[in-house]
Amino acid sequence: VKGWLNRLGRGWPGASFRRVLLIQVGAMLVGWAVWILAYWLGYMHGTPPGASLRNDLPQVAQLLADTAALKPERAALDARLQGLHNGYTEMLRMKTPAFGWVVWRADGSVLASDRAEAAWWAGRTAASEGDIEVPGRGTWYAVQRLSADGSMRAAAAVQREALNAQLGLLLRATLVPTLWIVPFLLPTTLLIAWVATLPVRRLAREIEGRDAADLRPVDDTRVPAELRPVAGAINGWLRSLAQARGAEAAARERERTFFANAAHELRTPLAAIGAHAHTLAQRAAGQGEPAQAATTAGLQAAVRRMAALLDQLLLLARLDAQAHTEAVLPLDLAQVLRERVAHAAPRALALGTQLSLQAQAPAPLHAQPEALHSVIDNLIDNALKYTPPGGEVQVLLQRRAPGWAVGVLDNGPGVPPALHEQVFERFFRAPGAQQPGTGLGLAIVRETTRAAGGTVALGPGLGGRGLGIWVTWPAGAAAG
Amino acid sequence: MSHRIVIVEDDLDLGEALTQALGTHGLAVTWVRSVDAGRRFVEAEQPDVLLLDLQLPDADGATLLAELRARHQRLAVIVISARDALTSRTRLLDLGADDYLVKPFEIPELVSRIHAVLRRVRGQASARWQIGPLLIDTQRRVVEHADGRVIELPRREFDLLVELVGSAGRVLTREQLQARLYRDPDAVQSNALEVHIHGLRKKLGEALIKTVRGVGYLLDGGPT
Repeated sequence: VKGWLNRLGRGWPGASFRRVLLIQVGAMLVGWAVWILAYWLGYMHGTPPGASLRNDLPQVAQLLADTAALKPERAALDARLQGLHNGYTEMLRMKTPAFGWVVWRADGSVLASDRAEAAWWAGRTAASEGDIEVPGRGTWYAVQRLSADGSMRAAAAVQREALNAQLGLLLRATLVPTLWIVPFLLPTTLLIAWVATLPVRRLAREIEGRDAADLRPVDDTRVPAELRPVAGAINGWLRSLAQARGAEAAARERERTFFANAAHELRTPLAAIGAHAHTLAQRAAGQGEPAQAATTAGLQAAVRRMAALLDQLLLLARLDAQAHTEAVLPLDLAQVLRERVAHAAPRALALGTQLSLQAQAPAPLHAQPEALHSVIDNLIDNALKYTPPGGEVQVLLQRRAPGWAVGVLDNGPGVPPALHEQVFERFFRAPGAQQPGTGLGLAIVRETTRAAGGTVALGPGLGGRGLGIWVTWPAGAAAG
Repeated sequence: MSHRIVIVEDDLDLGEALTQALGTHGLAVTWVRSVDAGRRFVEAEQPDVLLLDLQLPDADGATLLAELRARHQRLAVIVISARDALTSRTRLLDLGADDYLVKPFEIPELVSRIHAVLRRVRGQASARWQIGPLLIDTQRRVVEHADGRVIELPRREFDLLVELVGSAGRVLTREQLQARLYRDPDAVQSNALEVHIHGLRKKLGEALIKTVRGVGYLLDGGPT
């Protein structure tokens, strides 16, 4: 019991409304049962006024004796009994075998009786009150009284079973409605618990259904008074969260502005260097000075490399900064791929590489356009860079539920499996790589794809050689 | 014919370098350093091409673009900017820029873009385009070969050739070509475009038009 109480005590703070209500109903039913038990005990051992045959028997016996002494006729006795309104008269009217009476004259002869059994206890005059065994008819409880003048003696008796039956009737009359209530009480209790917790669930639904960015306070006007502190606490927390978000957004905006400015500041002089180098190269070519032409060509190559590195670094920084801010839009991936392949095609042509696309339109998805473009551009750029002249690069679009898979396959030298993980690291360059590269392209591909919930995998390229990179994108947003 | 080009660029180094570098390609360049100076020059001199930076001391280059676009339909505008975000690019093209180059760019690339936008802007007026050995006469709707042959093309094939020449060096997707050539692209037979491409190749040579499989077509090398 102690352990149970402990458990109850411990369970209390987390106990559900429903459990509390059910415990209350249980306690109510137990109280009822105790009340009925007390009533029954009182009935058996106490003397509730006018409640039982048992209490009336002495009165009835006395009444019969006195009536017979006054007027020794059967009719007078019957009339007297009819006039009574106690429980036993009801039993008489119902012709129950449970009640019996007899009146004797002083000489012991029977004046009148309502039962044959009366003759059986004719001689039993000793006890004024007590149980009598009647063969075949069970135990009877009888009471005898003498008339005031001593001329008549009367006995009234009830069958024990009838007494008990009356008690049973009484108990049934009390218990049965009570038990009938239980089946109604349980659903009612559960309904009350359900209705009472409705605002809690509404609050939960409101918070659950929210977008992560939605920090508006919850509506606490329709919340019951008891829940108001909870709603208030939630709103307070939301307010501080909104403030933190605001500060974060401002910081991100500053960062973005910084990158935009840095880009401008770095790119403009680089463009000037490139333009000057071009002028030098043109003049060197015009004047036929091969040494100077070689120097300017080196200068131009260095500017190109620096420009590419700057592009990738700024792209990486910007993608980092706007991973959470760039709008997610509904796009057709096939259309995007056509644009990007079209964009890269002139370069492929200049390199002598055959670039093609296989895409079944349309391929709807929700994605951040710039992130998507940077992934596709870097994949194509990477493949074109490492495929020798005369090679082939294929871009494939396939359905891979619940989203799409884009593969860029080439027949270049490929990447040994040992380096498959490393190629995605920032600034990784394959040992002995001849092509100018920043080592950031595939890092951008993987980081951007993962941020969008996609995957990147390396596989075989075309015709059993080269490299194939597969990127999967979830159909994304708005529940797909 | 020499085209007149105006550069609106506030950076001293870049302005100087661009003026010289474009000069080596025989292009006449005027360089100004503010939106206000750019506006006055365009109004007074009616140049052919405007190379427009965005971050300028007195205003955003985009405001100049929006303002000039309404009045000077024939002015070709190429935005040269350090901003490479997709949104910035799309916004400027929507505002009416003919092209968008991100700094740093290669001078040959800039020169070919200048020629390309000039072709597009003046396309309707320019009667004769030279591509390799071919001379395309848009008024007479004939193609002349350097060897003296006159190649006559059916209407659709000639329209297709003009589209490809106008975007030489870039891929035109099937959707773009169909939208430009056929009033109701959905009603055309799906292989109509291939048939016309095939016809052009047969008459003008296989190498002229390149196929980018799954995407579209491009005509290599710009006309002069």
